[in-house]
Amino acid sequence: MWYDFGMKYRALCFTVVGLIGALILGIAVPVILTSLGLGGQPDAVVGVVHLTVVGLLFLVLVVEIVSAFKIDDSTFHTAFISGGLFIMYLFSADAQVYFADRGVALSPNVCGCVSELAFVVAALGCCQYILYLYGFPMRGKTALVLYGPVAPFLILYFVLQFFGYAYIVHFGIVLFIISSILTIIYRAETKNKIGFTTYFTAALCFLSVGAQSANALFYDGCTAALPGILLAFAALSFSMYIPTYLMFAIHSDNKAVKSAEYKERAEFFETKALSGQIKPHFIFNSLEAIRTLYHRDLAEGDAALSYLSDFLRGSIYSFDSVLVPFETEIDNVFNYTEFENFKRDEKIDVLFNIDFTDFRVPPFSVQPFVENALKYSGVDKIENGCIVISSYKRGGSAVVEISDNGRGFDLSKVKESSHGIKNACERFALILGAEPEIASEIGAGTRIRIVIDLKGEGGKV
Amino acid sequence: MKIVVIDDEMNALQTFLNECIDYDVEYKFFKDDEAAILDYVSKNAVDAVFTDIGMPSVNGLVLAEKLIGVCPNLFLVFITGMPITADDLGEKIRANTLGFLYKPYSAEKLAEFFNLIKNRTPQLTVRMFDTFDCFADGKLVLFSSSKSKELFALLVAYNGKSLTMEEAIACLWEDADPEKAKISYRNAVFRLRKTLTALGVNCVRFERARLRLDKKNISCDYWDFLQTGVGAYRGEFCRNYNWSIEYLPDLDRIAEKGKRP
Repeated sequence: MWYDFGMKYRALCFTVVGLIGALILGIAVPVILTSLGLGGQPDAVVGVVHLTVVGLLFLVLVVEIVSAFKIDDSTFHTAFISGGLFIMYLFSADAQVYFADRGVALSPNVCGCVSELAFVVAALGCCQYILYLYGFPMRGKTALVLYGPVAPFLILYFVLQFFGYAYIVHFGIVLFIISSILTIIYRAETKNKIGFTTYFTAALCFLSVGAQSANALFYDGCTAALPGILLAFAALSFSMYIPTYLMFAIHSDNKAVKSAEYKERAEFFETKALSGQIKPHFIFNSLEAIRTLYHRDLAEGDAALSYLSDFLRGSIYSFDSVLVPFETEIDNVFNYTEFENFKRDEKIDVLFNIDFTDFRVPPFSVQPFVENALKYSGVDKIENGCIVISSYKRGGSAVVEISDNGRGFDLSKVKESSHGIKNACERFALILGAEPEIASEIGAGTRIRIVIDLKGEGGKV
Repeated sequence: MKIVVIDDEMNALQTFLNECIDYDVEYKFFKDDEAAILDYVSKNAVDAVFTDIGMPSVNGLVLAEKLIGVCPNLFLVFITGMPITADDLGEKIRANTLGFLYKPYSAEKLAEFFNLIKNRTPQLTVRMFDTFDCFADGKLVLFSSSKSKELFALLVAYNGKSLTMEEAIACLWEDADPEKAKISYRNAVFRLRKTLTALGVNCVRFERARLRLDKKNISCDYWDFLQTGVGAYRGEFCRNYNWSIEYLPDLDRIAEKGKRP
């Protein structure tokens, strides 16, 4: 967020790092290498640099692969790309010289092929990822649309390499990889996963691709040619990095704002979607019950109608707010349980053990748990059966408990909890960061405990 | 108290009539005929207007504004099915608005508005002799649980003294285990509070683990008997409630005294 200093600061830092990186890679590296007499051919010193990059890429690779198992397949693509780059550097001509110095001789042709292939693999990884992002299947005509232009590009690359002009295409591919990495970061941010790893991965990929492009300039005879060409490439490199970095920095900032908005909207719609969750059959059953009650006793009908209409009103219009005072939610629960009890021949004992109410909860977030207890706990079938709704303060938290001494259930055998409960749990987690704990024992009852941190949103009354 | 009721639907007016007939209210019903309403309100001393909002020929909120132009001290109550609140009202009518009757509304809610207009609190009448019962403006109060009713009875028997949680538990839940008793106590307090709030009665001071009754606006046969020695005491006091036995000796003594010439 723009008003968030931390975010702005980070973007600024990133821009500065990017500028320095671009400066070093675009101008300083070629100049330094030339002055050290290292340019133009594979070199052990550059090999060390490459191997360091290999180490770092390996780290990224491991992190991304591990998280791919945990998070989703978008990180799988990053792993794929960093894997490609990892192999490319490991078998680079410079690394070979370094290995040769240590007595490990590798076939330059094999290494060259592996390295270049890995580079292509990284590029393809990016391609694949973009396809994935836009939801295209990896086959058929849609794949051709994106693979189509890339394939001749790659063939051109290999052809040109024989003539020593590969750097032209190389440069294009580098640009492509960088833009792909940007897309990946963009993706990660829209999913609210901006973290250290994202920045680390991005920075490393930028640096490594930049290093490769700078190095490529030397291989492909840049230094051997006119100084003018060197400068031209340095300038190109420079002008490429600055906008890319700026774009990334600004982009990540904008995205942060957008993702915050997005999150808020998601919360809002989530609330809306589920608050309207009064089922039609509930309404019709209730109307039927009201009719019966009116026939039996006018006062009973009046009372039940009043509870029902208050409950319906509360539920239909509850999506107007994300959080409501706990007392409002208790009113909803009360209207619900009172109405339900009017319908029952065997009244259920619902005890409101309310000791603390100075906090907020999402509307209709406690009611589903009570509804569930009313429907499934079977407390009406046992002696002294009751449902207790408690709220109290414990340290810096408000605790809400819904417990019953009913039949209980085997948690491991419950495949899908009801829509209402799932949604209530999600909203507690999403809005208040509170995870309802459910404990149940067969024959002893069920207890749901929700601990709400009073320092957070829930504590603002 | 004179009120005007406006609704375009005959049924709605009929419902209102059914509910308000028990109260001492002079009422005049109108359909959504703006000119006739304005004319009536300007010529008569009307205390309050109860109006629907969405009506075919005139919007209740617009009409309310015009009515205030005619009669600035008019109270307004909106009868509506819409989720409208005071925040949605314009500056001009907010100050005059007493509240909203959301359809379907209860007789209690309507009575609450009548009391607000008259600026009075409902009169509670408590009957302790024989069985305990409570009436608000003559209507039997339905408590939301038997224990909350019993708790209120005990509070009345305490006659203005503070009732602590321990004392209440000792009387009402003597056999229950301490933890369960506390829960039951809080539940009864919660329910009692709900019942009284719905009646618009504010006679109990709810403090932490302590309750106290404000005797103003309550009349009770037991209190009168204690003061005057005259009453309908026939040896039965809050029958059904175990703790009431302790009160009997004192009551008997007073009754004895009353009999002596």
